[in-house]
Amino acid sequence: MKKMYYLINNEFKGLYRVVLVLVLVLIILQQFLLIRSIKYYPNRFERFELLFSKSGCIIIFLVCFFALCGLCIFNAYSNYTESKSIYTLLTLPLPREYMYFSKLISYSMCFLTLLASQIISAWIGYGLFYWYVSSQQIATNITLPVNNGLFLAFIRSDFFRLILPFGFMGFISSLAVFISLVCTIYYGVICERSKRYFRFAIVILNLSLIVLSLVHRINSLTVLGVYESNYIHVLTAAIFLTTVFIIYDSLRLIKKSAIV
Amino acid sequence: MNRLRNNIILVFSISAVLVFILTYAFMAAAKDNSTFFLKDLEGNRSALKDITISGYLEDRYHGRYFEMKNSILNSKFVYYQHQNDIAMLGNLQNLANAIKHDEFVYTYQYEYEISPGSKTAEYPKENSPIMNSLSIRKSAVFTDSIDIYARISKRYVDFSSPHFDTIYFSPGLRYTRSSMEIEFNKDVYGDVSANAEYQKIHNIIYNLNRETFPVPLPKMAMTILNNELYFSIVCTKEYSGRNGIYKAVNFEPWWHDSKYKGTVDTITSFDLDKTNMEVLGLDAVNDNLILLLFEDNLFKARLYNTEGQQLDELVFTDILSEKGLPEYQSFINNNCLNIYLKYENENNFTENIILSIQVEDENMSLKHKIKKNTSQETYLYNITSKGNMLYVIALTKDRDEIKIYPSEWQAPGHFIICAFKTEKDRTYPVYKGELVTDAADDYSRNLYNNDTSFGYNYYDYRQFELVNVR
Repeated sequence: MKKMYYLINNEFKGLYRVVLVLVLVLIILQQFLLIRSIKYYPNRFERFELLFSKSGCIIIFLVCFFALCGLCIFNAYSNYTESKSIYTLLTLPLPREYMYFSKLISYSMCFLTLLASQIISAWIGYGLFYWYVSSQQIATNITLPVNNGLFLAFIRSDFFRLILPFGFMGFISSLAVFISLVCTIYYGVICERSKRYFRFAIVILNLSLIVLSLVHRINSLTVLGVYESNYIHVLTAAIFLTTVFIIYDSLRLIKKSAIV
Repeated sequence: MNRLRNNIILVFSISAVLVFILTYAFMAAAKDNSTFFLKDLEGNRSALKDITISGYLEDRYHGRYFEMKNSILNSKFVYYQHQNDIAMLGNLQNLANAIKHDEFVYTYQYEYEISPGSKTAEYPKENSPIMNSLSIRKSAVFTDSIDIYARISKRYVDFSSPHFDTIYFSPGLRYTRSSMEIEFNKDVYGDVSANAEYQKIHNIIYNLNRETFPVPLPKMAMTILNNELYFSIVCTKEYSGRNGIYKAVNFEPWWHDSKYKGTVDTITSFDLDKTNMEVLGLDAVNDNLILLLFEDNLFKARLYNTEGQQLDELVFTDILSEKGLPEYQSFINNNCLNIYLKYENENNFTENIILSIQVEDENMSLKHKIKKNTSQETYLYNITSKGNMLYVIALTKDRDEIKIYPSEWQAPGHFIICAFKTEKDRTYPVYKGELVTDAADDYSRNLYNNDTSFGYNYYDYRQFELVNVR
C-alpha cells in the first residue's frame, strides 16, 4: 500500500498546480460575476440560487470542468511523449493495477477538488450577497435576504442538487456519475492508445447514460412538464454496470501491454 | 515543504472531503432552521386541544410536514427527489372544472347550439382574410335562443393513458333573450366556391362568441356517492328549461359514432320555467345528497336520497342571491356539511358566511353559523365541525400588503387557524392564531419582477397543501 500511495502522490504532483489555478479562477470569476449581478437593482430581491444561475456562474463551472477533463487527458498522453514514461511505469516492480488505479484516484481527486471549490465559492458568494443586500435600505416591511437562504439555495437549485444531493438515491446517482465520468475519460485514452477503436462505443454509451441520468434528475421535478416515471435507479444501475466493465477492460488492456 | 509535496494528495483529499462533510453537517443542522411556529392572536390555544391539524408546507423541491396535536406543533423536513414525492400532486384538490375520485378525474365542459326553431340572422364575414378560400366560408350567426349540452370526460389522473371516455348529455337547459344578440361564429368546410352547382359541404361548425353572452356561463356541481358520479348544473335564474340532479351511469369511448354518448339517469328534475331557482352546489353526506340552491332569492339546503325523494329542507332567509350567486366551497367531515359562501361587496369588502349542516338519518339541522365582513382575501383550506366547536383554516391576504406586489396571486398570505364555539344557537369566536413561517420570503422576488412571460410556476413557491383536520 505504501508503494500505491507513493504512485498516487507522484501522479498528483503533475496535476495539482493546474488544479489549484483552475480552483482559484473558478472562485474569483464566480464572485466577480455575482457582485456584478447584485449591482442590478432587481436582483437584490432575487433568491440566491436564481441569482447564481442568472449571473453565469454555472457556465464558469462548466468551463473549468471541461478544462479539467482536458488536463486529465493531457496528463494521460504525456506518458507517451518526450521521456515516454509509460514504459517506465509498465516495467515497475508493481502490479499493473496500481498504475491504473493511481491515475484513476489522482484524476478523481482533481474532480473532487473542483467540486469542493464550487461549494466554497457558493459559501463565499452567499456571504457577499447577504452582506451586500442586508446593508441596503430596500423596504421596511420585507425581510431580506431569504431566511435560511444558503440551505434553501442548496436544496432548490438544480445545479447544487447534483453536486450536493441530500437524498439517498440522489447521492448514489451522483456518486455513480462521478466515478463513471473519471473511468470513462481514462478508458477513452486507453482505447485510443491500444487502437481498440470499436470500444469507443462503450465510451459513448456511458457518456449518454451520464447525460440521461443528469437530465432525468433535473426533469423529474419539473412539475409543469409531461409526467415522467422515476427510473433513476435503472439508470444508476446501468452506469455502475458499464463502469465495472470499463474498469475490467482497462485492466485487461493494461496487463496485456496493449497500451504501448 | 518537501513533506508537504510528498503528501500533496493527502492535503487535497482531506481538504476536499472536509468541505463536503462540513457542508452536509451544515445542511443537516439547517434543515430545521426555518421559521415555523404558532402565534396566538386571540384567545387561548387550548381551544385546539381536541383536534389534530396536519399538512405540508412545500414547493417542488422540498416540504415540511407539520402536525399540531394537543395544541403542540411538530414539523419534519422532507426532501423531494421526484414528482412522486410531492405530497400535493398525489392528492389533487379543488380542481377548477373537475372532480377526482380514485385513479380517475371527471372533467366537464358545456357546448352550445342554436335552439331549433329559434330566430336567426346570418352575416358573412366580409373582412375575413380567407374569404377567397375555396374550402372554408366564415360568417356570424345571431340568434335569440341557445340550447346547452353537457360533456363529462373521464380519464386517468396520471395521464398514463391518452384514452378517455365521455358522456354527452342534454339536460333540457336553455337560454333565451328577447332579441337576436347571441352570436355564433359559423365555419363551413368543403368545396364552397361561388358556383352553387359545384358546392359540396363536408362540415359546418358553430362556436359561441362568449363575449356576446350577457349572463355568466353555466358551471357544474359534481359529487361522488358510493363510487357513482352525481351532478347538477349551476346556473343563474336567467336560464330556462330544465335542471335537476343527475347520475352518470355509463361512459362511452370518445370515438364512438353517436352524438349522445353515455347514459345518464335523472334523479330529480326541476322546471326552471315554473320556479325561480338557481342551483349553487351538490354534495354527498352519508348516503344522501344535499342540493344547495337559491329559490325565490332565498338560500336553501335540500336533502335528497338517491331515488330523488326530498327528505328535508333548511331555509336561510338572511342569505340572498339578489346581487348574484356567491362563491361556494364545501368541506365534509363525518356527517356534517360545512359550507363557505363569499359575497363581494363594494369598497373591496367581502361578506364571508360559514354554515355547518348536520345530517342524521333523514334530517338536517344547522349546527354552526358565522357571518363576517372582512377586507381580506380568504382562501379556505378546511372547515371542520367537532362537537360544539367549529374550526376554520384559511390563507388570508391583506389588501394593503397585496398592493406592493404586482398582483394578488404573486403575494404571500397568512395561515390562520380559527376556532368557534356554538352555545344556545349562537356561534362566537374563541381562538385565532397564525402559523408563522418564512415562506413569504419566496415572494420577495415578485416585488420587483413582474415578468411572467415565461410563465409563473406555482410550485416554485412554498404553499400550504393537504391541510387536514381530524
